Amino acid sequence: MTETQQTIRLENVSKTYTEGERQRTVLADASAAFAPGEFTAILGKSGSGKSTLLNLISGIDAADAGAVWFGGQDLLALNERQRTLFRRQHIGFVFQFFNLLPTLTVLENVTLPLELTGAPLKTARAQALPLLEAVGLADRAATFPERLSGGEQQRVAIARALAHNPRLVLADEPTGNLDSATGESILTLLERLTRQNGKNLIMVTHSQASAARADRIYRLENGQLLPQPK
Amino acid sequence: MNPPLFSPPLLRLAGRVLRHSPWQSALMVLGILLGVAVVVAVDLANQSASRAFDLSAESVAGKATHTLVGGPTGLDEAAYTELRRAGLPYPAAPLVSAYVTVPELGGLPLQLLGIDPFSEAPFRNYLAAEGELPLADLARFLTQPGALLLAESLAQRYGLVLGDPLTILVNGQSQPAFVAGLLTPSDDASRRALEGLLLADIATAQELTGTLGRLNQIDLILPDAAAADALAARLPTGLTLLPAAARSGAVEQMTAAFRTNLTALSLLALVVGVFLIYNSMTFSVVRRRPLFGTLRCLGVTRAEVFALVVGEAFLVGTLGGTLGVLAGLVLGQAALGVVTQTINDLFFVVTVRDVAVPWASLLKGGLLGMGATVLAAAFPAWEAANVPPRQALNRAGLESRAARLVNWAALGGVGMLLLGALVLALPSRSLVLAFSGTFGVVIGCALLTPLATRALMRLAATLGGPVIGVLGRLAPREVVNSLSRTGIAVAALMVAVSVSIGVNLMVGSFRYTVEVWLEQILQGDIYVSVPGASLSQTSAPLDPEIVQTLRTWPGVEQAVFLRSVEVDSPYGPIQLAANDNPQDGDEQIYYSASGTPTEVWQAVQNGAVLVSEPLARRLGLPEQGGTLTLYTDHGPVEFPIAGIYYDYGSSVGVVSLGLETYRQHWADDALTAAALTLQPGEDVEAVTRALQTALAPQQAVIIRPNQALRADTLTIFDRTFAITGALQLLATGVAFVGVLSAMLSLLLEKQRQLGILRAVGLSVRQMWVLTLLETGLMGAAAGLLAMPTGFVLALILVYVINRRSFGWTLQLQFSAEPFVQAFAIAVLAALLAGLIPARRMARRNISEGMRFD
Repeated sequence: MTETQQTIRLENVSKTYTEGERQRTVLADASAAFAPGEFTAILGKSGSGKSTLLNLISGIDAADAGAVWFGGQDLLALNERQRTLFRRQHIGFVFQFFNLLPTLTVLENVTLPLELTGAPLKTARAQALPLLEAVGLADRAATFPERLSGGEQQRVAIARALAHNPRLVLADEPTGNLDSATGESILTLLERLTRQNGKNLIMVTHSQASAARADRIYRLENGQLLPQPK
Repeated sequence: MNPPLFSPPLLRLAGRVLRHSPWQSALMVLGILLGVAVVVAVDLANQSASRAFDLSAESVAGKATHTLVGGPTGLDEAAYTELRRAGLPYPAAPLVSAYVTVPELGGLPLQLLGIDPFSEAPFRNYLAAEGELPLADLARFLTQPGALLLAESLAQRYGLVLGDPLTILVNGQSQPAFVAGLLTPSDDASRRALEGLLLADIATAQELTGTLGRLNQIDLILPDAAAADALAARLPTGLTLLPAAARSGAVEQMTAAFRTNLTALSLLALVVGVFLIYNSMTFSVVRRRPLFGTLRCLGVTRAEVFALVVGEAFLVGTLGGTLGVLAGLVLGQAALGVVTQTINDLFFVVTVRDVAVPWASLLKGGLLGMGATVLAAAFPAWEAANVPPRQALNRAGLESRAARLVNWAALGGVGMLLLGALVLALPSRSLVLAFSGTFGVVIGCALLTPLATRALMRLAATLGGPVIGVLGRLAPREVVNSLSRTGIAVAALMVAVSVSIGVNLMVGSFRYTVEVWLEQILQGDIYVSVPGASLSQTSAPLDPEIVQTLRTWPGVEQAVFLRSVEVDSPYGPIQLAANDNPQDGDEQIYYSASGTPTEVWQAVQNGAVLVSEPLARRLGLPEQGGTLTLYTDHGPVEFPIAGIYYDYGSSVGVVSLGLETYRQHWADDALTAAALTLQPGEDVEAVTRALQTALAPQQAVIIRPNQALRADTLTIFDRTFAITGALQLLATGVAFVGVLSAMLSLLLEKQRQLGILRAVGLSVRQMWVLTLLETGLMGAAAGLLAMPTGFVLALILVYVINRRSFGWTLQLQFSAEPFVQAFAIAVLAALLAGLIPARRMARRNISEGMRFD
């Protein structure tokens, strides 16, 4: 696969929401490229459209105009179902509020994306356990999420995001709900694991310090993605 | 790539969700269980009664294609000899049949069948292959007086052996008999048929029933219609040839409405159940919106989310359906007794000893439960599938959408109400249409409930604030703020409670109408009749000596006699009531008449008949100028109809005529009952007691003062509605379970908010008040809204359903009691349902409560 085929690119992406009577433009002709294995941070104030951007990259939402290229595939050319299946295959998510499934054990939460892609349970477990090992929670595999602390829950979420070997990991304020020390360790873990596995990592944050770890930083301002020097 | 809809991790998730909330899951299962159990129980009881009827009709008719019948007193046995002598080339068998009771056999009605063993073989095979009766038994059977054959299983149940004596009670007389032989049928169907039969030689049966020389019928096997026509043409007057199926078909048809009503009521329990499952599933979906959002982010498709929720419903439905079928089997036993009793009271004698277990019935019940659950879950599942990934639509968004939906639902509700009313107004006798229209009206009212709840809560907040303070404002606002859930819970409770109001008002109106009617028609002081095997079988004649005694009894001013008897007609058997009451024209209440009461009675004296309202409706007779054909001893006669009168004594229908007219057409001078009017100043109780003492040695007759007969009639009435009451109670039970489940889910979801309230200073006591105020307000809203809905339901039940089912016009009797009762049930159910979650939250510590999300 060539580098172009693996690159994720936004081309003149626009997105406008209707709020009551008025229109709110979140993205206006925004463009950016994310090279394979690169860690990109997107900075922006609350309400600047950071989450919308992640929704467009992951195919959760569709842009009004422009293109979202995943290698040779334009996500906007796919229908909703195709985008969902694409997401299932190629994208991992880490949320601010962890969003683990409370009725599944830690191990089951991690095996879930694998099983959804059709992997047998045995294979899924074999792949999930080393990841739990890597996030330091192998001994809590049979525990339910409500028994874990916030930091531990986010570590499980990271393991889950990487379990099905996606090309891209999207992190939405992954440390926003954690104390600074825990946040720091989570970020280190996320960075280490994505880099180790050669994944793209796109993280939205409003913390300058967190963004400083990235290879490249964009600032989202007035609907534009502006490259920002480190 | 096309992933399977039910992938293993999603199935596991569905199972886990159910295990994770055991209370809610158990309540959902219980709701379905109750709904299915009621449907299965009623179906089993109906089918068992119907099957018992078929079996008894079959066991009497056997393989006969036609039956030769005479008048109400049967036919002379010489007719049979003449047929034989005339060289009839077809098989023929004489038959005597009567309903008797035998104290040694449990006192239940049994059919005594008198047969001629030598002509029986082509018709009924009890004595042939299946019977395997030893020769010695057969000899006893033919030669000894009182010799009876019965099923071995029946004898065993009551510990009887060969030779044991039996007492046969028939027409108020007691006759000795004995067990002459035991029949061991080879298959189950024959065993069931034989369970309700006593077999005797024809002469023995005539002796036992006091009908020497008379036959009830002659069975025939005719090869084709031509043979039947040829035979009919040469029959002497007074004999009628009927197809064998004509009689049983007509009786079967009479009970069809009764059974349809029961089925509809049982379905109502299931509908309430479905509504509540929908409620529970909606709660469980709404509560898990973030989870579905996360799943969608992880790449779970809409179809998979839909399948996940439907899969959960399927699991619950399967469990509830299976357990419901088992519970239905147990309930069926209990229901059978009540259904059989009602059929015996109102229609005909049927002996049912055990529940037949038709597997199709069980399967139907189970699948109905499962299907209903999945159907109820379909909309919530669709809602879940459309949850935007990452929970883009937050709770506030959901509620604002719900607020908009409330108006649309109300509009839909008005539409459903109009549609329901339109269906009900269609000129049809179809019960299915009537019930469809009723469901339309109920669903219409349910759809209007959220809008009405919002208005009521705003009123409560305005009124409650100044009285109770902040909690009085907070509680109603909370109900409005969660209208997406509370609206459904209130609607579910409202439907259940309104059904209770509707049925109660209908039964109350019915009872009132019957009381007024009894008051009008029971003008005599003392009533005398012969005990029959059942109340529907009242043709047992009074001993002529007793008739004479009554006529001349001191203190009796007037003795009026009635001949009640069943005759054949082109429409099947018809009950006749012939009386010599000179005031009868004035004592009836007419639905329609061809003149004044005096003119009507004049017409009746001249040979016209009066028809009861149910019969007129059943036969579709015109209100004016109709005629009715009856098979008399002199062949078919077309009687003019002078009027249609209200009658609540029989849903099958009665033809009333003058005793003189009756005797002109039928050679029968027997009398069935007497009404005595005493001279002024006579003590009714004393005369009753004196008559009882005097008549006892002659014949066992029932002598009752007016009041007692009235009370007995009302007892039967209440017994008839006992099963309705039980079904209604079960429907309320299902509703209660649903409300409990709804409240539980609702309050569990609010734990975080209550945790915050506790954190800002709400005391445990205040939290109890807030929770119970909220649930109490929801119950009160449901109770209030159920009032108009219940009233409309009562109108439909009284003026449409009853008229179509039984042909009775009832006077709506308004009473406050059902409304007060229903309101109390609604509030109590809601308060009770609020207790468990309130207690749970009071025990939880604040931080735990706040963390829950």
